[in-house]
Amino acid sequence: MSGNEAAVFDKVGKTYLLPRLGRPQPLEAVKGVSFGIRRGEILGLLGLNGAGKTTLMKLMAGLLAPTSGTVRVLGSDPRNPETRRRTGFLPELPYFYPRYRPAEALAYYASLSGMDRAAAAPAVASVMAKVGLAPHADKRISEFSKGMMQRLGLAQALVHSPDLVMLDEPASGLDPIAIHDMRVLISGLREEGRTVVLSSHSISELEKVADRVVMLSRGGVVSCVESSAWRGAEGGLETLFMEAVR
Amino acid sequence: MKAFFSPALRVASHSLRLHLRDRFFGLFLLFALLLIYSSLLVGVMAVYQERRALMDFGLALMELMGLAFCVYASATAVSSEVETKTIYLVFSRPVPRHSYLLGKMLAVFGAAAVLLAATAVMHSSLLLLRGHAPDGLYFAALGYSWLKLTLISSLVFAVSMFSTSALSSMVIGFILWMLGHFAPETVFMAAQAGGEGSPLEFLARLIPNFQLFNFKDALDVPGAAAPPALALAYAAAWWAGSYGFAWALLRRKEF
Repeated sequence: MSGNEAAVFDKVGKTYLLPRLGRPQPLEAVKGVSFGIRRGEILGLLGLNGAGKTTLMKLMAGLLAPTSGTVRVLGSDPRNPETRRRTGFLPELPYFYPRYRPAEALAYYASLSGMDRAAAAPAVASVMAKVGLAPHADKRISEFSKGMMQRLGLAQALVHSPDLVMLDEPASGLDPIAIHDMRVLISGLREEGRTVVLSSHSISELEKVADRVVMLSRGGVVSCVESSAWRGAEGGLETLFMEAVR
Repeated sequence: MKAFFSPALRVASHSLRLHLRDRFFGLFLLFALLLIYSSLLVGVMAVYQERRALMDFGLALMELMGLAFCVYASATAVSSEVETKTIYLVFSRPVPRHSYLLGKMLAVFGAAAVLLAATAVMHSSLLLLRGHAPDGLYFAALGYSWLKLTLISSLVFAVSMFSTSALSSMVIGFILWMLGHFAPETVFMAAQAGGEGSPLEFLARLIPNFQLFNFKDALDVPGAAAPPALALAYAAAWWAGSYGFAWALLRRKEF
């Protein structure tokens, strides 16, 4: 792993054991995956449903352990507490306690990331302003729309100023304006020097925001393309993706 | 040590707030208020034994309300976070699983204490209304009830780590509660049926003995409950055992 890489997957495989009567049934979600993520870039993971995007995200977030191969994040094991302090994760369709107000939820997650109260209060206020939730600070989360929930999800991933941010389907279920706002927010993270990994099955979204896209199919990497490749290609990223997965 | 206790306390304080804000908690309190005040009728029927009837009925109701809440809260504490995926937001942070589990258990123990305290205020107000001031023994009985509730909570936590649903955890919890009140008898019958030292007797000995905590029985029959130090040590042994078992299962889980 070079110093320029925020994360590295080396021949990574992940097999789930599905509970079945008698003997658990293995399901190979990811196999032989190898690629690196450069510091400061926005890397997109593109694939059909079941291609292994979420599994790769969870492996990077340290929620899963690989069955084979190694995952290194910011130079060490993703389950290392110090690594977790420096990463932020937004799962698909995040849930928050409906009776909380957004600042309460963010203060809790900031504290779990190791921030004390004195540091958490300004960080919470700042991240709420950044994601556009400041005008809704007095609302309960139960009153939030899907778009506001997704903004809150992004805020919890950013509240502790992580170096690497992992966003699993951040535009899932959002309306066009919310998708646009989300895109602006993600591009802003790159300006701040953070590394962003986002998964999506929306080609147009990744096309607009990513610097590089790793294409996945049936648990393996089928192609890795730079933004210059799809900007110059006829049909854009969609054509490249279709060629890669067919 | 700080890396262990600091996240545990953060999880505990957050989870305690959630329990206290939970609408079920409010419903349990409301239901307890109705039941405790309805015990006035029992007191009237008892005529010359009103104090004893109000005391026994009230303490039993408080314990049953506490039991219902603790079994529900313990069975859903982790499973609801898995279902809603909020557990991802916790475990993607520097929160060790053993700290998370400890925090969740402490939160239920704390909520049980708050529930008992709140129902004790209701019950005490009824006793005072009838001219029967609660004494030191009354508060000792509350302490024993709390130990009992924490013990069953820790057991349900352990069960919830391998059971397939929160409902099955709750059912097993209630069965353990009932069996635990007949633990010595169960051991005796198991020894009779399977012979002394048999696997059946060994299994029966794995049932916690809740009779040790029946302090309200000791108000009438001295020595019916264990001395405080023994009761605390017994409960602590079960907390530790249940916690260790639950952690051994949680650390291997993938979400």
